[in-house]
Amino acid sequence: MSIFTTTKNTFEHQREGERIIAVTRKHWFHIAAPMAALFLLALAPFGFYAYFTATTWYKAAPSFYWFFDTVYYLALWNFLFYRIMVYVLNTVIVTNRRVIENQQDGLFRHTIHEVELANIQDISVKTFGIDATLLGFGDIEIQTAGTEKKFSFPQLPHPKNLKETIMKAKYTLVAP
Amino acid sequence: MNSIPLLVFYVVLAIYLWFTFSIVYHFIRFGVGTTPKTLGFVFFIGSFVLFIAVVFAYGKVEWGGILQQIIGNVPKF
Repeated sequence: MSIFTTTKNTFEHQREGERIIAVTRKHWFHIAAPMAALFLLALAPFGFYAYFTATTWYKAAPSFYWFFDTVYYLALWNFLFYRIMVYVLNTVIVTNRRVIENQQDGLFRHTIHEVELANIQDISVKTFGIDATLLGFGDIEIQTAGTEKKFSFPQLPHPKNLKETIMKAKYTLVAP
Repeated sequence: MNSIPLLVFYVVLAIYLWFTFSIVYHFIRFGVGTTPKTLGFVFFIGSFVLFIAVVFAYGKVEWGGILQQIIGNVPKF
C-alpha cells in the first residue's frame, strides 16, 4: 500500500535534490463538459426504462436488456476514468530547478516539455473570454533563452499566482 | 451456433482487460503524487464490480433462443 502514501520521488526523472514547489492541472472547467455529458448518459437507461419494458422483445428476453445495461455501465465507467486519467495526468510541475509540462494525449501517448528556470526570460499570462475571466483560468507563455523560444501552458487555474511562483523560484535560484 | 456469443464474449473480454490494465498502469506509472494512484484504485474496484455484474447478467441470458429469433427474422431473398 506504499504507493498511496507520499514517497521521496514524487514524479518520474526527478533529479537529486530537486524539490517540488507547485503542481497544477488544467482548470476543472476543461473537464466539466465531458463529465456532464457522461452523467446524462448514465441517466439514459432510467429514462428509457419505461419505453423498453413496454416492447415485445423485452417481454420475450428481459435478461438481455439487463445484460445490455450492465455492459453499457461498464463501458461508461471505463470511458469516465479514461477522461479523468487524461485530465489528471496533464500536469505542470514547478520545481526549484525547472518547469515541467506532462502532456498526456491518450493511452501510451505522452509528451514531456521542460524549461530550466535559469533559461526563463519572460512569462506572460493570457486570459481570453468571459468564462476565463469569471472562473479565473488562462494561458501562461514562457519565453526562454534556449533553442525552443516559447513554451505555452494553456487553461491553467490562477495563472497570475503561478507566474509569481515561477518568478519567485527563478529569483531564488539566481540569488547567491 | 452457441459458440458465437462465447467467442464475442472472449474478444470483448480481451479488449476490456487491455483497456482496464492500461488505465490503471497510466494512473500508477505517470501520476504525480498520491491522487492518481487512489483514482486508479477506485477505478479498478468499480470496474471489477461492474465486470462481475456483466458476467452474472451474461449467464442469465438464453443466447440460443435470441439467436434463433434474430435468424428467423432475417428476410430471405
